[in-house]
Amino acid sequence: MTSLEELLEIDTPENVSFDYEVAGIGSRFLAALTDTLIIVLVILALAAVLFGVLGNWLDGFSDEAQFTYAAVFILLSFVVLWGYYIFFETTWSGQTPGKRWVGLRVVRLNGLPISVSEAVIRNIVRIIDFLPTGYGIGVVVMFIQPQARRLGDLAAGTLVVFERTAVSLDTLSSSITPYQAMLLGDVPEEIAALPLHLLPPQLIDQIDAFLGRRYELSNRYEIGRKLHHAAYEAMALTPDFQVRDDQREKEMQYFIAVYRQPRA
Amino acid sequence: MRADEMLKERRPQWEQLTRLLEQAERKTMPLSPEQVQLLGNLYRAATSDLALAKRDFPQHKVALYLNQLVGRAHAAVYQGEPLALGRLGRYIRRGFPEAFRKTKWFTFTATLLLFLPALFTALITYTNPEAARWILPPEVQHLIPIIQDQELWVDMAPRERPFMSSAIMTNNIQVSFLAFGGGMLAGLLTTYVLIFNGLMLGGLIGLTAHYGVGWELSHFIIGHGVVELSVICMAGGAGLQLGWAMLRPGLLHRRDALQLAGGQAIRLLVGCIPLLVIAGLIEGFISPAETISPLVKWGVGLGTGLLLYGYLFFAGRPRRH
Repeated sequence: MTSLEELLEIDTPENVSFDYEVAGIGSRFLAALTDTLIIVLVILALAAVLFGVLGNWLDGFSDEAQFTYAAVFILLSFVVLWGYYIFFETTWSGQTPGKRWVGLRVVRLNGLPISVSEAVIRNIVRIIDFLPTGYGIGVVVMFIQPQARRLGDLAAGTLVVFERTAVSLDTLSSSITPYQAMLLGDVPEEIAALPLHLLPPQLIDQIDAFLGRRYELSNRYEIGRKLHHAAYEAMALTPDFQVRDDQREKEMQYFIAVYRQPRA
Repeated sequence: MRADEMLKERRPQWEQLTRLLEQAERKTMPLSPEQVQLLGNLYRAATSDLALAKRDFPQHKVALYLNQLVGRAHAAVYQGEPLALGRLGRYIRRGFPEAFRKTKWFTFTATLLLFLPALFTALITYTNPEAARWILPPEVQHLIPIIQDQELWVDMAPRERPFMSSAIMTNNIQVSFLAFGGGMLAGLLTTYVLIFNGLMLGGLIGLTAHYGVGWELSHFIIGHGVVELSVICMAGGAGLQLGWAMLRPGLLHRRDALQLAGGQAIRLLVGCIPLLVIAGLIEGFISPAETISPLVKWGVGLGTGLLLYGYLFFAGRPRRH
């Protein structure tokens, strides 16, 4: 975890803390844009149904019917406009379709899920955040506030965090997926013959971590070289200095594959 | 302990916890008492796993996974009270009236902010009708010639009434939201909304009184006006409460004071919404009806007022023995 992200640290009653990554203006705006789009589409669909489909069918009826349609339309679009956010944030425990798509969630400041009260408060105050237009006030407040909370969040005591679902139990077992193992093919004899059991567990962990993150590292090849040499030193062998970097990484993948093989 | 050792050893428990969490989150099948007990135990075990992981291999993916798992389990274990119909009943019987009584001085201030400017402009336009041109905001200027002809603008064809009713209802609700949320701007926007509406109202009333259609207007307003104006004052009061928390948080952090006030103020505002629906219905169907005598309209107005204030002041009080 880098230190550039704003983290919300939660202290549990069990005296262990975990953290959430706080969402910034950009992600929140993206989610809001998506939600607005959905709301607009729903209201347009409503209008189309009421005035198009049903309207044509009942065209023979008087003006009175048309005014009633207008009344129904106003009420329904009002309910959709205001109810959308409140409904979803209550039933999906802090998520709306837009937030779900971006991977965000509204939580209380102590990390707990929100209730109806918070959902109602933060979404009614939304009318102020929206002023003068396009979330003008909201963006200014979010910019100043260190945790990117808008006025609605301040009134309700909530904030928006990233819902991290990146790490699943399956990806934990090995840096090499079955697909990658298949691509790697059979372990070459010269590597299988190496005394890999001599490698200290911490080094294996380091190589594993390196392989998992190597695409993000700026000094990838330098670290790869160091780990490769360290591995060979641990096995009391001299590394081949001429080997290419990608070849080196592939060798280390074989190390992990062999090391993690279930022993008979 | 090393990451892969912990993974091998504890994986079954983590999988079990994940399965329980999925079932709990889906809410389709509630957990049995044994399952709830198990969830608690697994959660606690996961927290100690996380503590170990943070000590021994904090950057490892297993630590990240545990952080996620504990976060998710924490949310499930320490859930708040679920939304149940019983809560709604309690709110209606006690919550809303109590919220009103707790914030009555804010509501009273909002009432003053609405009525004093109204009184002021009413006196001005009554004695000086030309003043209406600069007192009244542009959106109602077109009513001035109508009033001068001793007509009112409140005649609505019966067929239009459902439409007008819903338009009025939704507009009033939005104005209330604005009055409430405006408190977040240190109460300034709330104050503005109240004073602005007060000035406009007073100006119109004074003008109609001058041209002799004042009584006719009052017959129109009284039916829905008692509830509607009360609600606007309540919403304004709720907004002023927010503003007050921002300006004078007392011993609390500003953010905590705001959160506290927000929770209290919303309990007042939410109850206002059905009241505005009622007012909108009255304004749409009863108030403009020529077939209904002014006496009935006054009856409706005063009757709703009595019911409303009786409810707000007396409902949900603890019984004395």
